[in-house]
Amino acid sequence: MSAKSLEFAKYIRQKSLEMCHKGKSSHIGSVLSCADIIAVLYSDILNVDPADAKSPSRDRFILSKGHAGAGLYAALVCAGFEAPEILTSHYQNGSHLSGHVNHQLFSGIEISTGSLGHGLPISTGIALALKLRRSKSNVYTVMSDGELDEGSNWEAFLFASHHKLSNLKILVDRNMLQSITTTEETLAIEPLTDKLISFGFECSSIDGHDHDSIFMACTKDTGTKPHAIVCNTVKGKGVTFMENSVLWHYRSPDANELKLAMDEIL
Amino acid sequence: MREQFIESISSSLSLNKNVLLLTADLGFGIFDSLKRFTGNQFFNVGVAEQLMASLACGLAVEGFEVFTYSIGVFPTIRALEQVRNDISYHNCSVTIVSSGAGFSYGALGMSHHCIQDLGYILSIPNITIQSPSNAAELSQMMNSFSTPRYLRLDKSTFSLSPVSSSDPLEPICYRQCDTEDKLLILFHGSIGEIAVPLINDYSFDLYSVPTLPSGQQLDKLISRYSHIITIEEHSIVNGFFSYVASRAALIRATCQITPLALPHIHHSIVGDQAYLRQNYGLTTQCLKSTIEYIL
Repeated sequence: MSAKSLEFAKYIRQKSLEMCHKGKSSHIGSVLSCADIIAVLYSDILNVDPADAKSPSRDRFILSKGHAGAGLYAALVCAGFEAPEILTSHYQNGSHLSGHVNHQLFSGIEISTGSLGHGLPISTGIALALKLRRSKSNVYTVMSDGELDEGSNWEAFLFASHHKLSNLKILVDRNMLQSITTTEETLAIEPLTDKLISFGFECSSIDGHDHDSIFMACTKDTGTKPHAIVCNTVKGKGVTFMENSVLWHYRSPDANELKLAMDEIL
Repeated sequence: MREQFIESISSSLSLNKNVLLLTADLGFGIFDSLKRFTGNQFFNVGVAEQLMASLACGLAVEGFEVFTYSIGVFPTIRALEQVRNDISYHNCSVTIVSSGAGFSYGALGMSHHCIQDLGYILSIPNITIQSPSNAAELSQMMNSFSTPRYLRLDKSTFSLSPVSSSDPLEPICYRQCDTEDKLLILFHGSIGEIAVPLINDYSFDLYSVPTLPSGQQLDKLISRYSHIITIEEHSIVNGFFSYVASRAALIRATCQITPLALPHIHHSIVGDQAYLRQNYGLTTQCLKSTIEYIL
């Protein structure tokens, strides 16, 4: 576990809370859920350079669960792609920082997402492109577990496995909750790892808040297979009153809740 | 035109390693000549149109020039959100190819009738629609084009040659004889052929409008004539007629516009392209009656 990744995760959580409070925006629970995953990727895994954001040799990162866009914006600021001031425009009139990820006018964002089931199929195309170019770069895609209801993802799983896209690393934010209730009450996806393995993936199941585990999984050699990493997480992680609650998929923290939340993050 | 497209794309694949072709498991037999490109430039992605559109986006953002191939409305309506969010919003160098415009696959039933696609794709910004009416138009469209693009290939073809050299981004003149600028016939796709038997008996100007949105010349044409007839093998709603009518309204043209198009219903009747055109009034006789009424 690196001190850098821990500081990174703290920054993502703090800034995302501030953004969701100021913009009265939704999805803070989804951001907190994957904050550690994004933090480890940007601090210790991804080969990216703010000074050369479009370098052909960079790794590609796609946030398929685009509703956690605040977390990605914060991460890119923390990594030096944009100045911190840009975050104050999140969800504001006339801003490009939409609640869901928007690649336009924000350095370091590869792809806009928001409608679920798009990020992985696009990532698969990017992974194929990199293979055709004989690039050594990898594609890292963070998905939500509820998103796996979308059939387009399973088309992509088939394709990635068939074409041995070992440069594709999928991290599933397995917080067990989706828009209304649990994933298992909605449209059960368990046994998830068995399903992914049966689709031809190397599959790992880890604690999605443990930075060492995330790092180890992301750096695992999977031979010719694409890698699906099921990151077992807690929605709203880090703020006690937001944890495991669907309410915080929608609600934004008021001033008092923001203070309570920031006190916990500190 | 499908075979001509295959010849053209084969040439492109040979000449440019940056060109890729994806098919959603359609094109049995016609892609045999492309087998040597399999795995490098040619991929059958399976019966997965949504995936094909998103894959094309991912490949295009990495610098490839991608063609996706399917038939009917499968590469468009089946994958409409992927076309909008992925291909169009990311301004991808992608050409979506559909073989089987209109009633080309008429006997296969409603699922294979490609007669609402223009409306869906026209509603998405940043996509050029091209419906070549014949091999000459297609040839030009394969040589020079902008993307994102939707290319509709028809089974039948329009038989005349243009009056002069043509730019497929603008209306293409196939006959100009109406010195009073009274009647203009505009068509989109090969269905313009129903006007050909009438050219010796009636005075009208005849233009193909293969590209939508069209260039500025279409506005100039619309503003010149007192009567316009539009012909399309597409629903009367949100297709070529709607496009021309909206242009006329925007430029405050005073012309009367009469559509020959398909009724806005689901077509459960089947038959070959010629039969279905006849069944729904897309015929020379109906066009003749319309012209006589106007004149």
